[in-house]
Amino acid sequence: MKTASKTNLFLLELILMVLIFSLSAAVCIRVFAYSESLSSYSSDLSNATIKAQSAASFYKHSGDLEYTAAQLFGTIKDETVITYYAKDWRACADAETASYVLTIKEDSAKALIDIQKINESDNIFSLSVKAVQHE
Amino acid sequence: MKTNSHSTEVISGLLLFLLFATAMLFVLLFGAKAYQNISASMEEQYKERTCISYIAAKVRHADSAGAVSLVDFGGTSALSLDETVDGQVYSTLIYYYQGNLYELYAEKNSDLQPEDGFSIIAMDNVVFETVAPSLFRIECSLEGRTSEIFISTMSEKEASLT
Repeated sequence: MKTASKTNLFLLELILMVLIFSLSAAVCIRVFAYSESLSSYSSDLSNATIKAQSAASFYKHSGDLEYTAAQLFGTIKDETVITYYAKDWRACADAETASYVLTIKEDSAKALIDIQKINESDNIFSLSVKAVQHE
Repeated sequence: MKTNSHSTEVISGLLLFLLFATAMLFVLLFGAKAYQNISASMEEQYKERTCISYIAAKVRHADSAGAVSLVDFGGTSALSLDETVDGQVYSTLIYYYQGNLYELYAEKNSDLQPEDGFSIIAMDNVVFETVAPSLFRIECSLEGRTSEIFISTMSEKEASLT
């Protein structure tokens, strides 16, 4: 009787331990997953900033969407420059294999540059730029 | 009968402990993987971004009419950022020399040589190019990773290798 009681107590202790561990593991996994997604977002933001700055430089320099599209290896559709980027942020022509898209729209002598992930509505980075008149 | 019941309890206890140990291992592995990914991402960003960001920030800081140009400095292409202090023109020269990005602040057209500057960061290669007047292309490479940025300056003066 004494032995059975001891074993039950041991089992109960183990179950409690597994329960506490499960709770801690759930919290840890959530934190790990969040940190990974944050790291991925930070990497996307860094690359998007560089791409948007380069696009802004082309537009600022020329004030011309066609020139900007040619320099970015993009296309113009409905007065919007569209450039696709693969996962490694290299420009690609195929929209189906692309992971990111950069769009430039003209709006009253300004260009609005947006970069977003394909199939996501939120912009990773946005920039507004005005063309410079060179002498 | 008693022995059977006792061994069942022992086995279930052991199984529970095994479950606990396996779960602990998985959580540890998951954490290690997450740390590895974050560390790789940070290293990648360092390689791709640090040099580019530094140069871009310097150019934007110095950007005024005719202040940014590409010059030949001791046989290497250098980005020259000019500023006038008390009527004297000074240049900040940024260039790639012997595996490092260098910077040198001196009077314009001084007799200083590339080795007189101070090293900013070790890089495999840094390329400065003029794509069009006042439009520069900067490319930085480190350990197989290359990134580039185009910078349009306010400067009206044509940037050219002189």
